[in-house]
Amino acid sequence: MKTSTSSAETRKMPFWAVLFWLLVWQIAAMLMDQPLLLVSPLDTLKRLSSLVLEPIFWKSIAFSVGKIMLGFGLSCLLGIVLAVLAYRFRPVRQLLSPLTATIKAIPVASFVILALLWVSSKNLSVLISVMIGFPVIYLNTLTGLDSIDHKLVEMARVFRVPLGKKLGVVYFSQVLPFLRSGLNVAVGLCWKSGVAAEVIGIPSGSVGQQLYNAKVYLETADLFCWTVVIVLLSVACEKLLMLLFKQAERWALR
Amino acid sequence: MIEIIDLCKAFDGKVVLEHFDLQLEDGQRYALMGTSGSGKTTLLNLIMGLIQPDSGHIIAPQGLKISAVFQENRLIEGMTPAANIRLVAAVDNERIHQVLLALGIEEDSLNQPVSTYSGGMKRRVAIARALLSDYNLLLLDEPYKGLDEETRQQVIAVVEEMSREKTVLMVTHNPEDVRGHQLIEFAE
Ligand SMILES: Nc1ncnc2c1ncn2[C@@H]1O[C@H](COP(=O)(O)OP(=O)(O)OP(=O)(O)O)[C@@H](O)[C@H]1O
Ligand SMILES: [Mg+2]
Repeated sequence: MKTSTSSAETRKMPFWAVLFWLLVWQIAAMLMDQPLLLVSPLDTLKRLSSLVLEPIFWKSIAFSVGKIMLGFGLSCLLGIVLAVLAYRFRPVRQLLSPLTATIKAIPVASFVILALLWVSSKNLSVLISVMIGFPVIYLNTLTGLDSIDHKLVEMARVFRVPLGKKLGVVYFSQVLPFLRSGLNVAVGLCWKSGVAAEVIGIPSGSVGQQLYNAKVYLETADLFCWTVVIVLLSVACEKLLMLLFKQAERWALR
Repeated sequence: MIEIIDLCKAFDGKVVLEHFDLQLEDGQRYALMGTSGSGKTTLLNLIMGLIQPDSGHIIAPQGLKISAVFQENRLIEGMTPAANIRLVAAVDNERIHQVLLALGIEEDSLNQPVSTYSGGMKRRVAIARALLSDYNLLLLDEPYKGLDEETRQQVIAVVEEMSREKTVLMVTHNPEDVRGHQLIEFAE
């Protein structure tokens, strides 16, 4: 419990601190006075307000959110299922260890270019999200399973706790913090790598393509806009995920 | 009746139990005393089936249901006492709270996770869990350690009341706890 409050403390972002950095950005932009290089937050906001009126804005977002979240969902499924198997069966763990280590070491950009050989650019960000998200979730879940207090499992056995409850409460409650931080990190990584993949693969009608076009046509305001949008989307997904997780937690430990 | 016959247990060549015999009659209360490291917890673990003897037998009747207060509390820290207890016992919150209050846990703390509890409070939650589960053999490993004298008396009264008619085997270092129990002295 203590660890979770202290990490919440370090993550907490007071409004005044956000305002301070926005102000620094605004002043820096005004001093530089070169909108091609640095767009001020006010101009970014202004551009954003017109961008949201264009249908392609929402279409791109829907496309990328769909693909990247699909990739994230698959990462969860794959990561959790394989972690459980690796926990139960030693050979599975041994078999997977070089794989996850390799995937973790390969730079996203190499991955993307390799992956372009295998899948269409349309589904590129799904594959990349899985490749990046899966090892994080797998390793976190496995660490959580490994850290399960065997004494609690014994306790459940002595009290004849039925299997479903044992898995749902005794195991889940202990893996929970690891799973939560794994999912939290993975969702952010999926976004970053997914968008990077789109910028390289340029699937039409994606956020990555918008970002790419903005750069090619030197529409710096658009570039800033899309970056802000990506950050907001990533944060929104993270928040939504944690909300869902909280519900699952409440349900399982009720 | 539970019969323990010629039980032997060693850990890495270190003998802990040697040709140990014991009979536990139904509905009797036993107090097990012995020096630290003499193998009391080991005996309870053998009875619970958590470890296997090197030789010898434990003969227990069909349908033996064990409940225990372990030497450590073995609670799920992130959950409330009621959630911990409902994991092992089919009882409603009202009954759980009734027992916890009888054990001297304050009403305000009932909805807090166990992680916020003091050592003595956790101990009493572990005791409540053991008492509320469905059992016919209750194993208590130093159940009252860490409780102040007044609380101890209060808790003992609840335990004795709620475990009446059941078979109880209690490990203790306190000679006062032996009252009302058949004493088993453990030689090293
Ligand atoms: N899993 C184990 N592996 C190795 N040695 C063990 C194990 N469990 C117990 N022992 C050893 O067996 C001996 C008896 O331990 P046990 O915990 O049964 O003692 P105890 O009588 O309960 O002592 P205490 O009063 O301090 O709780 C000790 O020497 C201990 O080191
Ligand atoms: Mg002991």
